[in-house]
Formats: sequence, structure tokens, C-alpha cells
Amino acid sequence: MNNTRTFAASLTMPAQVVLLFIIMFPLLAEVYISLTAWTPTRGGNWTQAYQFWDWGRNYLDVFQDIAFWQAMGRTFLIVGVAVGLEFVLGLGLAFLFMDEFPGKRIFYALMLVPMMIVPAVAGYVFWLFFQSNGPLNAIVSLLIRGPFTVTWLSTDFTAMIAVIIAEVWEWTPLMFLIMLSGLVGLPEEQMRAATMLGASFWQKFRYLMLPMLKPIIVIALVIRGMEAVKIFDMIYLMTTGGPAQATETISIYMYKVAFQQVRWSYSAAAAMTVLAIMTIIASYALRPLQAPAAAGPAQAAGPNSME
Amino acid sequence: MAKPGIWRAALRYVLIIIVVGVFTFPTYWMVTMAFKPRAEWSTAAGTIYWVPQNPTLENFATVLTEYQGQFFRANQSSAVPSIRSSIIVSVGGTLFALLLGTLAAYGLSRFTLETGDLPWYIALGRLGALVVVLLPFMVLWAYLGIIRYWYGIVTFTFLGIAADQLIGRLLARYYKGPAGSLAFSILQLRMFPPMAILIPLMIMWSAFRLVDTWYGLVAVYGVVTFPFVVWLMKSFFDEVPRELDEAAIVDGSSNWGAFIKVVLPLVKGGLASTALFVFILNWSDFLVALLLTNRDWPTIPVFLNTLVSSEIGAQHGPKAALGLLAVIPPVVFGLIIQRYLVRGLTFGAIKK
Repeated sequence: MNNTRTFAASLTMPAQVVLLFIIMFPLLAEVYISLTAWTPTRGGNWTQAYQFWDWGRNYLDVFQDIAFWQAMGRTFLIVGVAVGLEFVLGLGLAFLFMDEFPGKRIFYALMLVPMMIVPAVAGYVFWLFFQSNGPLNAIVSLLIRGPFTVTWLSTDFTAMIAVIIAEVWEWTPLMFLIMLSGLVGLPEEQMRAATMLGASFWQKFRYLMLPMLKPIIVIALVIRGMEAVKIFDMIYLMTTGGPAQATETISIYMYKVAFQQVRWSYSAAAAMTVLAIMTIIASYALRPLQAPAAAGPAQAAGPNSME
Repeated sequence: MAKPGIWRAALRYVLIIIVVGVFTFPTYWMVTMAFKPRAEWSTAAGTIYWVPQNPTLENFATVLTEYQGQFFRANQSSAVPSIRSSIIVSVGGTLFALLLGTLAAYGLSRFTLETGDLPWYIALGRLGALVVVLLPFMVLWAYLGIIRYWYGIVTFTFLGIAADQLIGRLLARYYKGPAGSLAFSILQLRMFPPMAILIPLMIMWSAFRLVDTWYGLVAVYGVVTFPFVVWLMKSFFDEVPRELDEAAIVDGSSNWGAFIKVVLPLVKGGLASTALFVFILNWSDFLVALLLTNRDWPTIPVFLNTLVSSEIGAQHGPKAALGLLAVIPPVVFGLIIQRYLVRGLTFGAIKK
């Protein structure tokens, strides 16, 4: 018994130790800097920041900073729209790829390529793509047989659309892959039975597939949402958050405050605020994930596990 | 399945060709750009070259060779070191994350029964208590000037871990609600934008002289991506019946033996697809490498970013060429483990 306990501890210990080692100091250093008014341009080393101590001023400023809250709202807007589109496209594509057809492997491979392209490169390709004399406008001009010159990246609304398109392009393949593995994993007998009973495709989808797919849909949405909140590379390379602040997400906001405006203590306060907000959101967003994970071992030990 | 009519098959092809076509076009643009000579890069003159008229390998040559001295063109280093460093840090980071994450996932899958989630006010309260306790020490260490050096950081970290343990014990004594599972507190870490912690991490890394080294980046990548490993691998381990490990132990193998020889081979498909995703995450990173490397170990995305200003006009062709080269490792990796990919991604959510 004691032996087992040592074993269990030695399994999780490395991860915990490494994690604490990497998190502990940066966390406290961040809090420390955030409570002062120090920045590199004020001279001195960051350790002497206590000379500029000013309690919670930075936090008050963050709370009153409209740009911060706008960046926050914009991040969640992009995440909501992009992940929603990725889900619809991914699920639709998964249905198209559900059964065998000639050429499936090629289309399947092509569909997964965007995921393999480094987001920094993708951001750059999309930057080329959305230039006013770029290929996108040229294609539209061909289609409508007239000149089409939208300056995508220089007006607020179109820049937002461009950024969302790029994000959807990069990550729909992952959504597609997850949805396809969900569909392929559905029990075939039930589907066949429903077909024999004369159920239409819509009925099968609504009453059979959707309820069975629900856990994986939730997981896919949460995973993508979690990753999308951190979006930085593509937007940074396409618009640097511009025009003005029109596409500034929270990561880009923090980056600009820290490295362009060089306000380190303020950016530290913003970072701590983000950590607090994300902790709250994560505790709610991750809740649906607990059910399937907790049900796992119980089901694995059930009578049906001998397949 | 009912016999699909010819119209339905046709409709499927039309839809697939449209969607896949749209999704492939940006890739196509990158690939063709990589082979276009300079005159065809820009569309400013009003003509767009859909297909390279005079395909050339010049862009690859430009990006892979070093260039020194001449008027109006800055010295340009070759991309080869950045490709090397990308491969080393991504593979290293992936292996590190897999090592930490797989062990933790097995531990969580087999030996923890705690479920139920930690309410955010408890999580934040615990964090707040830790900060309140440790902040005076941080200021003291800073006042003494030792926090700048590695031994200051190490002593402070030990102090912090001790304080964290103490607070955890106290909390367990007075708070009887759901304890929260470690798996989900680990997963929460994935949600924090790395930007939020990168400045103090830069400070810490420079104290340890880890900035601009491959092992410094490997450590960060490993820690940033291992929560993902824990979570994916836990779902695979959960699918392996416990009776298997127990049987192996009854047969006389040790705990470690049962884990390595019996359970691990059963989840190798899951391990392979997890490895691919973690590798893609590490390979894609721009921000961490941008801030933690400068001269010796820039990765491909960082190097790409420096290509912008180094010449008169933008370097569309060479950048696309390097982008194309950067696609090769994940694609090769993906092809190798292709057969595990679809099966491996159900996250334990669909049970047969």
C-alpha cells in the first residue's frame, strides 16, 4: 500500500515540481512590479522597484482603461465568431467525409494542411492575400466582372473580418478532425437500425447523432475556445492590432503596453487582472469537461468493456 | 446505408471541391509565391500571376544562403540555423512535455478519485493568500539585492513552495467543499495567455543565463504544452481497464513495470497523436521565441519576422519559400502517424 502511494506520488511529482519552479518566481515578481510605478526607462534595476512603490494605482488604472476592456471584449468576440464558424464548417465537412468515396484520402490530406502551416507564416500569407491589389480582390473582380478594391486591412470592420477568416482557415481542420473522429466512432448498429426504420437524415442527425456527439462537441468547443483566447501571432503579423486598435486582442494589448509603450508595471497589473479573469472563466468553461472524464473509468470497468 | 443516388454523390463532390478548394487556395498562393521570381511577387503593377510564369528556385537559395555586404542591402543571415533551432527546440519541448505529462496523466488516471471542481473564489483566494504571504519576502529579497541572482531566485522559490504547501494544508483543514481535481487545475493553465507571464520569465531566464539557449526554450515549451498532454493522455489511460495493470502486478511485475510494459504499449496510438499536436503547438510558437531568443537560437517564425526589414521592399518570395520549408516537418510527422490520427481524437468522450 505504502509502495503504491510512493508510486502515485512519483508519477505526478515531476510535473508539479517543474510547474511550481517555473511559476512561483514569475508570479510573485509580476505582482511585485505591478505594485510599483517602475519601468526600465526610469532607470535602475527591476529589483529596486520598491523605490517607486505606489500600491494599487496600476490596478485602478487598468480598471479604468477603456482600451483594456475593449481588447478583452474584442478577444471574446473573435473567439466566439471564429470558433462558431469553425465548428459549423468542421461538422459539415465531417459529414461529407463520413463514408468512403474515391479521392477521399487526397481531399482529407489537403483539408488538414492549414493546421500544419506555422501561424506566423499563415498570418503573412493572409496579409498578402488581403492587400487591396492582392489575390482576393482580384478573384472578386473576376467574379463580379468589375473593379473591386476593398482595402481590407485598413478599415475597422473589414480588418476584423480578415482576422477572423484567417483564424477560421487555420483551425477549422482541427475541428474537422475532432468531429470526424467523433462521427466515425458512433455505433453503426443504431444508425443502421434508424435507417431501416425509415428515419430521414435530419431525424437521424437531430435525435441520434447530435445527442451522442454532444460530449465531443463540447470538448472541441472548449479546447478551441481556450486556445483561441490566446490569439497573437496571426493578428500581430496581419494588422499589429490595427487599424488603430480595431483588431487588438488582449495578448496584443499586453505586448504593446510592455514593449512599445514600455510601461512594465502597468502591463504587469494588466497581466494579473487577465490571470484573475481567466481563472474565473476557466472554472466555468471547463466544468462540462468534468462529466465525460469522470465517467471514463467507471464505464471502462463496466460490462461492455470487453470488446 | 441506402444506395446514394448519382445526384447525391455529385452534390457531395461539388461541395467538397468548393470547400477544400477555398481552404487550399491560401496554401496554393504560398507555394506558388515560393517559386515566383521577384518580378511576379508584387501585384502593384496591376497584373496578378496566378501561376508562376518563370518558376525559379532562387527564393530558396536566397533564404538558405548567407548574404554579406553591398549597397542598399543589409547583411542577411541564412535560415539554416533557424531551421536547426526550430527542430531542436520543438522536438525537445515535445519530449519534455510528453515525459512530464504522460507520467502525471497516468497518476491522475489511476490514483486520484477526487472529482468536483474548485470554485473560482477558492482558487483565487488560495492564490491571493500565497501572494500576501510571499510578497514581503519578495520585497525583502529585492531590497537585499539577491533576487537578481540565481541563488536568490532558487531560495525564494523554495520558500514559495513551502508556503504553498502550508496554505494547502490549512485550506484542507477548514474547507470541506469539493477539492478540485489536479487535472483540471493543470488544464486551466492552458487558458492563460503566455504574454501575461513572459516579462518576469525573461527576468528569471536571464538570471539563470537561459535566454537564447535551446534548453531554455525547451523548458518553457515543455511547461507551456504539458497540460495538453496530461489531459489527452488521461483520456487514453482511462480507456485502458485497470484490471490489466492489476493482473500484471499479480504476475509479479512492479508498478513501473506494469506501466511501462503493459499500459504504455496499449496507448501508443494516443501517444503518437498527442505528440503530433504538441509538436505542432511548439513548432508554431512565435511569441515565446520572439522574447526569449535573439542571436543564437531564433526559431523559424522569429527569423521570418526579421526578413521584413532587411531589404529594400518586402521579401515575399523568400518568406514564402521558408514558410513552405517549415510545413515539411509537421506534414512528415503527420503522415507517419496518419493511421492513429482519426481514432485518437475522441478525447474519451465517445464510448462504444
